[in-house]
Amino acid sequence: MFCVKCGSDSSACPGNCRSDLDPPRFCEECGKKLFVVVTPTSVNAFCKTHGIPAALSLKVISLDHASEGSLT
Amino acid sequence: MSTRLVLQDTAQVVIDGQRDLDADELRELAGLPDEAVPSLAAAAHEVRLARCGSEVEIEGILSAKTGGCPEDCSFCSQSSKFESPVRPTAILDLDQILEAARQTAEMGASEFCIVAAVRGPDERLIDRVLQATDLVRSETGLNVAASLGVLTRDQAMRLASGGVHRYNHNLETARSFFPEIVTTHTWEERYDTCILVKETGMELCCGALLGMGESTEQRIELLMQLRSVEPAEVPINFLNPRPGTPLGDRPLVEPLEAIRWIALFRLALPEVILRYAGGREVTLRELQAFGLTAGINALIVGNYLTTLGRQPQDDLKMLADLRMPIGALSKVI
Repeated sequence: MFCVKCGSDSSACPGNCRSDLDPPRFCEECGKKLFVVVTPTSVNAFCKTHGIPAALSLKVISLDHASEGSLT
Repeated sequence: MSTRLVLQDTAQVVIDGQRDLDADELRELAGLPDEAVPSLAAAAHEVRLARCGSEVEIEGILSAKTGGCPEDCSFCSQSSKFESPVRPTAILDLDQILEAARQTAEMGASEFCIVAAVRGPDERLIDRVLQATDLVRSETGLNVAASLGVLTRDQAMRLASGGVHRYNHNLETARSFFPEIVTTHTWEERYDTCILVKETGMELCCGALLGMGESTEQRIELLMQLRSVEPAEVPINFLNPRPGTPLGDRPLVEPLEAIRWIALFRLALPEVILRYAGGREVTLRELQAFGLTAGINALIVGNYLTTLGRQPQDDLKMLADLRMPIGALSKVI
């Protein structure tokens, strides 16, 4: 597993590698860069191999009604 | 004469519109001790209320095309020249842009800015923005602004006639410091686009990014240069150092120093829409409300282009607590 913020091995990442205001940038499954679109009240992220990261269900989303989406 | 009385006199000169403060006066104010910053802020707030009123304009912004930019702006995680975590994405489709505009309208905003990480727009991007402008205006009633880099005259005219009422093109920093930040285009190219925007009838939104290593003197130089392009709006950004960029290890501007410069921007540019933009959360922390009583009269609310903002409801609560009504400050609507 990989840190969604910095892309390093999650066991090696202290967890405070980035601020809470940084959206996920790396796939937790493969560590590759995500396609990310930040909109005024949501974050949409997509890994070409693994789809939408589970981390998006965590608190990185700014508003309750943040929508899931994908980029192709 | 005490500092407070000097500041009152200075504010009155600006409030009365007798003349603009010159570089020497701004330099003197920039050198005030930290303990005088609240008085400086109060003077700037008086100027804002007298020249602009108490209303605050809210805007949402959207990165409609992220990353892969050929320019090498040292602060930017969207440059293709640096190894940043931002992966390039295609231009968003109309449905995605409209959904973001709807999110913006729900926040109580009057302004929606479509931004693209490009040197300048190609035909496809111009077409998409024009289609989106029409759609967003008709579906949400929002004013639409755009930020698409360097424009040709024809492109500027098409955007203006297509309903883009305001165009963002930041000078970012002083002419004398710019070559240390960007090498793929010149400060003069930015200046020329700013002039073009005005000539084609759009409002000019032309901002600054503080905290890149520029000197006090260069910040004053920038204020004079911003004044020369006569912007309707000036967004103030504070550097939020991005991993992988050449400025990724720079320290944040200190909160009280940020307040000092917000106040100086207001005193130097008394009638502009002075907008809180990127970096305010990490820079000002608990002093964000202070900026609104130091000259700020507009906010980007919600998320930014590649980073998140704080909860919009926190900003709306802050404005309500300050008894500052939300309104549109455009000169053309």
